[in-house]
Amino acid sequence: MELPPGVNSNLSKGEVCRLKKSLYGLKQSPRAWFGRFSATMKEFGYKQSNSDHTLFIKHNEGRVTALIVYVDDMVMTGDDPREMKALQIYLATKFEMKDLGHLKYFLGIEVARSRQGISLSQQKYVIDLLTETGMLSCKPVETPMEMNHKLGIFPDQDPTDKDRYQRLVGRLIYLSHTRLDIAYAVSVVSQFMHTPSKEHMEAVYRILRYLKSSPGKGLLFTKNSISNIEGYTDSDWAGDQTTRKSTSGYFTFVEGNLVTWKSKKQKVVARSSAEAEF
Amino acid sequence: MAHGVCELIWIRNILRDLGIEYTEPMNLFVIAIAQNPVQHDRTKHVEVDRHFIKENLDERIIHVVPSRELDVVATRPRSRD
Repeated sequence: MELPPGVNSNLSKGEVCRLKKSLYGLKQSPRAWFGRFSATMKEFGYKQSNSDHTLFIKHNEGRVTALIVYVDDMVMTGDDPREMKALQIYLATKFEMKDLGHLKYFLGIEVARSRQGISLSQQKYVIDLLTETGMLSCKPVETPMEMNHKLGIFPDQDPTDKDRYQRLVGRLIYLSHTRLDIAYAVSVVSQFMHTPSKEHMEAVYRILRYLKSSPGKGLLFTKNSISNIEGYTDSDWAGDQTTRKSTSGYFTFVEGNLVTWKSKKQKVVARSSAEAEF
Repeated sequence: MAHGVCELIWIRNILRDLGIEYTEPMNLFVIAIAQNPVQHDRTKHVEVDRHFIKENLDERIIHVVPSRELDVVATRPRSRD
């Protein structure tokens, strides 16, 4: 940590500054910020959700207002416009705030509203990724990964540029926030982060070529008549070539809209195909 | 499957916080296994995961739909209560 500008910095040897409050660049400052923010919210009558600690909710005469925070970005929603306005004014007195109007762009995710519903996509992110890797004019493919791929870690594999591989996979992981179609492929390629080979790099390029075929795909939330929460799940058995671990996946729908999904390699070796399912 | 159940319960809790309550059990669609009437608690060496799923089944928090019934459920009209 360095002395903030403006502080008389000609300290002689052995002298230090004493810190009286949390400041930028300190290890503790994120926690201090969040502590102050949640205290402010609770003061205004909001409850912190136990399921997601960054979510604050207030119920008022049957109406609900919710606010979710990511570091210093906030999204507010609800069916009580008066309460929302009041919260906005309140927060503006406590912190330096800027109202960006209707939600359009949040953490690199584009939000669009239409008559059909609300859609989330990361089209700009995909295009940027393709431009950066020089894959903008590549030949598109229909699927993100070969069927029955035999990817694994072998002693005689050809090493590849590790930095580049890790950076690319990192960007793909971020992209899978709105793209469930690449979730499995990304989970496979991210298993080789420590020793990537040419073959693994090919698999990453294949995902990029798949993205090229459908850069604008995303999630669409619509209003419909289904009123339930549903989940779908399945798993393979000993899909991993090297460790024989199984991969399982699930996705959940709330009122017919896809909300969460996951594709993950299991932690233990399943001894039977039935065990893999549990 | 246990993770799928966890996720369903988590979503239900968030929605409950937001004031949306579902009374019906949540459907979990699976391909291979179903509610097994033979499976009883006298079986030894069963995993924690399975107990977790079973517990939620018994309390009617989730409902497991095997693939045989999948077509039936998907085509059955569901109304908003």
